[in-house]
Amino acid sequence: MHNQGRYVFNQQHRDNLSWWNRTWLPQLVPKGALLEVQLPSDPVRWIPYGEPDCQPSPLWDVAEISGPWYPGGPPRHHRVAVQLEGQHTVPNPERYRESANPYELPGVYIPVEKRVLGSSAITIFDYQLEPGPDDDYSAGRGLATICLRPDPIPDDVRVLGFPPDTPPNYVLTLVVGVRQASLGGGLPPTPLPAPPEVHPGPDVPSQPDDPHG
Amino acid sequence: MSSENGVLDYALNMVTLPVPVGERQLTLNTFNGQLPGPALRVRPGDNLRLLLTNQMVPAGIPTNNLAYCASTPADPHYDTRLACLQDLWKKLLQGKTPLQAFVYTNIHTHGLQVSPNDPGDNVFLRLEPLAQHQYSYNIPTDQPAGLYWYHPHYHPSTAHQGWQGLAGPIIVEGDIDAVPEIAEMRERTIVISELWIADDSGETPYSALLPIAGDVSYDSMPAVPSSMYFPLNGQLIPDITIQPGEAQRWRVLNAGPDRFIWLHVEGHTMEQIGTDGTPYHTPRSRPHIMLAPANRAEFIIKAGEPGRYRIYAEAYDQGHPGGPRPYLPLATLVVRGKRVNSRMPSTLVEPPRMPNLPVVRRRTLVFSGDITGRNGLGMQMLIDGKEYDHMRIDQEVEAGTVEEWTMVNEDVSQHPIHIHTNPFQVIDVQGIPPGDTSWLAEREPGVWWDTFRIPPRGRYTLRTYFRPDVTGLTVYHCHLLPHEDRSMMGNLLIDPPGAYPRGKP
Repeated sequence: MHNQGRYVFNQQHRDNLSWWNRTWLPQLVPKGALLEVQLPSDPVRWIPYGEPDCQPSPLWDVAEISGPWYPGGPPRHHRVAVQLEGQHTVPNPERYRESANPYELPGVYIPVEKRVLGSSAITIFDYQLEPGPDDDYSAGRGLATICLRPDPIPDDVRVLGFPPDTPPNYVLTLVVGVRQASLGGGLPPTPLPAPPEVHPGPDVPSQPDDPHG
Repeated sequence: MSSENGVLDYALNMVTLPVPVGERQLTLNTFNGQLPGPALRVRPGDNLRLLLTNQMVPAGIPTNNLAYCASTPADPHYDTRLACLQDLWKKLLQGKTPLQAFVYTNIHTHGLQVSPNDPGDNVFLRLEPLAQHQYSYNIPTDQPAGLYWYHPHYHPSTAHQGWQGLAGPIIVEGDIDAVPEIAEMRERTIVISELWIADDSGETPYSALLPIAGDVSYDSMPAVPSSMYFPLNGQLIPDITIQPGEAQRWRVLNAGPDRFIWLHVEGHTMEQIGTDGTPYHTPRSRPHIMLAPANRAEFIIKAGEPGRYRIYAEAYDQGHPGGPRPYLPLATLVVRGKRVNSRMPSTLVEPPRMPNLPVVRRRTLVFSGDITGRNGLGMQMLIDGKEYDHMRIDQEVEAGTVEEWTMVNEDVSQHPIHIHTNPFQVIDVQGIPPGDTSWLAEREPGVWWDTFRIPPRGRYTLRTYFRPDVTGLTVYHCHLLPHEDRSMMGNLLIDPPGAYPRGKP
């Protein structure tokens, strides 16, 4: 089973991370990547929005100072267009119900009946980054931003999976064109095949019996 | 590997190697280069000696996992980068950076009723890279004969090492093997692994876990496209051959860190003869068997007509985001060859009995979880509202006594709770969802378990006997290993008889 080569993001991948002093982590994706954003979506629904309101969060220093992709080329924080390809909702009854919360109330256990009920559904948004022309190395590289706003804005943003004092908008800034690499411990990298499909009716070639049999 | 003259002395090397799975080559941590680890066979009363060597290297680290120190603070009055470096330095000294923690390890002999103290089943041990440790387990003479297993148990890296298939079976041979009908049967030991692999690198992502909807249960920070594989003894959807009318004895272990395996064999029933290592008095017919992570089932399968039959895990809602985990094909039962008519046993062995002692103490433990991330990166899983603290004694008991524990689940996720060292019987279960037909053995009194799942927002009460000859400090925890790593674990101090309470090991 696989996630179809998509980079999956949820509310925890957003910018403006309260647990990291409201900064963001550099999310690296290759150009043309398929993206999936999963957000708690009941009692709210999420509405995608774009420029001019949707802007990257304050730039990651390395992206900002590292200059262009090549001498005379465009800067690395060049904007990359994102295309929304579809959305659907899956049920998620009570799975985001808030639990005890020692960070907000150290040492205090919150009885279950006093917790935030949370969302009973997840909405999944499918995006693709526009890669640009094949013969333009710098095309499709730079910064991409995904923005969604809730409607209506809930009284308590914790139902969105956000900390209490967080703005309700979901903003995700991506660094595009820098593929994540593995340090790999010096081992040879493995190729990048499509993961094998799993069929309900297996008809794969016979394998030897199990070694312990 | 079998014991000889009462001793099995064996070396286990945890080593990072390329491992072929299906059509891919993965880079995994392994025991002795094998997926799963080698099977160990012992008998009650034996001494099991394992020399464990840690030769793992950190593989699967996304480069930007370490780069967050470069991020710009939104608050100009607070230097995030300095705080980051201070935090990293502090964690480095404590050995708590991911780079360190995910290659520290130890080993747990799951289900063996052995001492939790060195050189026994000490799960507090930290074995650093290139270090060795000599374990020695004195298996009690009354250890039930059945399937147990070993796997790494270093907190908080159990899931990361579990996603790589680091597990191996321990088979305790004994009385049930002498039942004539069973002694005649072919025997198979089947370890179901659950591998979580990044698509580009072929390695297990080396980062925080975020539960997500979809076929792949978890994502990482930073996100990477990934896949989950469920090989049986290292093979994807293998054929398992059997003759028409032949009865085979299967020992099946769910070694996966997260997925509940609701085991079905198309067109066949399973005659279960044991749970979690402890045999039954008589076989019990099952149309299906639920294996929560860490559960084992031993059963006899008698082949029907020639043909190919699916062996699969039915879709099941274990409380994961987005609903049921999907249908999962595991293997194919291939019935072919000369027809035979294997004998089936009607009586097995006398299972252990709960001592006729009064219940000296009753306790209630509350399990809760938060997967939103609003309290910090990743999940937060708690027992009695508390994060795990390796210095705290959460429960103190007296060896030689019987206790009843009520396990309350405030979460929609089912939590399979494992108590180390002593098995238990479940005397009451509440909150099984209407229409959930997967609860069969779980409803039967007298079955011995070492891992038992709490229904969503439900509860159960277990009765256990702390055997008098095993004392020391051990743990209990959720066997969804990402939950264990994120604090759903407690320390259990077993005092010697007459020495309760001591308050410290």
